[in-house]
Amino acid sequence: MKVGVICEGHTDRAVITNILKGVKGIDSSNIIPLRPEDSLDETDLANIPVDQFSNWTLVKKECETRQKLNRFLSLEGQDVVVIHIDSAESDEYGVAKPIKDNNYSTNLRAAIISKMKEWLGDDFSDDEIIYAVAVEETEAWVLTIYEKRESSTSADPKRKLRQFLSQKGIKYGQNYNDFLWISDALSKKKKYAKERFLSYNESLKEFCIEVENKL
Amino acid sequence: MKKITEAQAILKDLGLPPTQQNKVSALTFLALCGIGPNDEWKNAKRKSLTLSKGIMNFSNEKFDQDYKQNTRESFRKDAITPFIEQQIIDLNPDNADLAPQSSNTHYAIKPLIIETLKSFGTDKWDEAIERFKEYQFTENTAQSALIKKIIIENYKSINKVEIELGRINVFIGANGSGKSNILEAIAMVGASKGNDLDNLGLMSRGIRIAKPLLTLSSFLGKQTKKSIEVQLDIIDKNNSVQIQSSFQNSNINDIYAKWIDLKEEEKTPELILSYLAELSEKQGKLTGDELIKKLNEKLETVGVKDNTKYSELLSDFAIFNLSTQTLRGLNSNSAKLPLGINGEGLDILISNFNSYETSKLLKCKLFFNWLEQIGIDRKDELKLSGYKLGKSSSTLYFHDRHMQKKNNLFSAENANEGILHVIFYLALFISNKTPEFFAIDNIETALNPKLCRSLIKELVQLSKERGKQAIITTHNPAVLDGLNLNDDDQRLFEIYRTDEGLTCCRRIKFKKGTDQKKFKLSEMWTEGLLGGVPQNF
Repeated sequence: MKVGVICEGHTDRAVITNILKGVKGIDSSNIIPLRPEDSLDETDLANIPVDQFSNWTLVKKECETRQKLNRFLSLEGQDVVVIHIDSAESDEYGVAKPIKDNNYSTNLRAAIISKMKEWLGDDFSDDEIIYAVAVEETEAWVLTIYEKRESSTSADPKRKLRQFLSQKGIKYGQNYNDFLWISDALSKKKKYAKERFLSYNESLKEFCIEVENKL
Repeated sequence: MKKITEAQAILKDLGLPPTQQNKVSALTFLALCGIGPNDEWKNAKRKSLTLSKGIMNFSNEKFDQDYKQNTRESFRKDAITPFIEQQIIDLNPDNADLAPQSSNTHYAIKPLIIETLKSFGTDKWDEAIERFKEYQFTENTAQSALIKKIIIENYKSINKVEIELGRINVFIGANGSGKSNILEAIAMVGASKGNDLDNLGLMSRGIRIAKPLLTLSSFLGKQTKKSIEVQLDIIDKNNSVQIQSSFQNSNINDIYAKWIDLKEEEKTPELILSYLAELSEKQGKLTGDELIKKLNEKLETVGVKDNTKYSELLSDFAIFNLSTQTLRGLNSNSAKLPLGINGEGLDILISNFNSYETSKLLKCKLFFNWLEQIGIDRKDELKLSGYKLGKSSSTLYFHDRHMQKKNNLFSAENANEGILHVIFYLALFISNKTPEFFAIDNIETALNPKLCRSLIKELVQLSKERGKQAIITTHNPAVLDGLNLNDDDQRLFEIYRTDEGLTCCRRIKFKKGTDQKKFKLSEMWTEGLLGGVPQNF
């Protein structure tokens, strides 16, 4: 079975790749990255900032156009696609932040999934899509490995992760391979119970439950 | 006379050379078909005739000719002998035991000719000629055996893979995914069946020789097994045959140690007994010493092996990986016949094509609008006129239709590389002398993407007509657009490696009810939807 993955960026894909392996034993060779993609050649990229093409707008566009989703799901053995989006910029795509109470993560995730379903229309069954909504960013999921405390409420998990790892002398780049490395613990099934990653981040926990149920 | 002219035209359409389109040939053909000046071709009949009293008398009486007995040799030379060679007539069909010089020697037109002539003068004539050329030589008949399933264990990056093959199988995958390793494991079975498991035998089939320790798979955290296992399931009409090989090396630390196929060794006692029984039956009572002497001779020369048609099918397997320099005749590394794995021997193969094979090969004109004709300089005389200053050994030539007739000839050494590659592939699929089962590594080399697509489509068609089965690897997405995945004979596979480095294979197939026309496979591949691309950058 091959699992398609649509992400905001390549670093998000690295984290999700590790989670799919850790939760369900999915080998990375069975994960097919659908977005972001190399839709531009090096000539175009030289003129445009790269981060402009690694954000939620691309995820929304794919959900609405279903260009890759439909074609990926047309092949045998390709039945599920994971779609990732960060909640950090949810206001920009029309999902207001709920009150920061105990259910903040759950409520925000539910509201974002509802919005994503709007984008997707009625083309797909519930079993075909797994929603990877990271509150606020996937860096918050990675923080569960190192910080060992609630990471859902962190205002800027990206900055916090960098600071935290810097203190530990860990240097990493903003690329797929480095994120695969710093989030490697999420690929080890045994560590989920031992290190209790899921107890520190509700959106990570709910994503993992969905993975467990749908794959 | 009209009928003689028609007969000459028919002989030309049947693919006979100009020397067999003369009046004597036409009269012989008419006589053997029983066609007089006022008869219709559709009424042609097969009737045995001797030369003098039959064929020559018929010509003289029906067509007002005056051939004397002393012209018999002309009939033999211009018609009878070439007609027999070209499978136009049968020799002594009523009594095969006649002495060569017997006065009763007789001839009869082939039933296939009678069948073909029924379409003469109709709009089905071209089709009938095409069919005639296909069945003219029995060796043109397509073989029916197909390798349906392959299971490989412990070969290089392969821990275990299982592949269900179609007739044309395209492998895609990132560099280093193990595509070639799958092909090599099959070639190793071929070498075993050809009693050829030494380094030369392996290399001549396209295997990259590695020392035993590197040939057996050795993954981190996994114990290295001692043998490579390969199983091939063959379907032939309604029969199913399983071929198994188990390769071991006497000393895996000895870089020169030779591989042996334990499954073949197991059969040896049985094969020896069967050979001895065969000897006794054929040669009467032989003493024990004589039997042992003959057995030793056989063991020293070709060995005792299972000579089934399936052994031959597999022993011919080779991995073709073309080199333009080799196709140009500028170097030669393989003596394998009829074609070497880098493109050796193409000119000789083409020069021995029968008329059916030649007509098929000329389809390559579709791909090259500048190509007027392909030629072979049998005596290799043109090199003396400066056509091969690079000292190419190839006798293959091309005529460019855009250039002046007196100056439009190119040797293989000067021709563009694309045409050499395309002609090689066509010849490989068309010829009845080339393997029935083979692999092509990196078919796209030297070819324009659009050409790749059309070529694959043509090769699929040829594979069905000629009974060939092939595994093709490629890194060019355009190749995929030449495939019709709704046809179960045409299969696409992704070869990839797991996180542990194990080579895996999966078939890429559309779900039922999916309209494939909406999706272009080349785009799906380049967009990463099929896998088969590197992912870490």
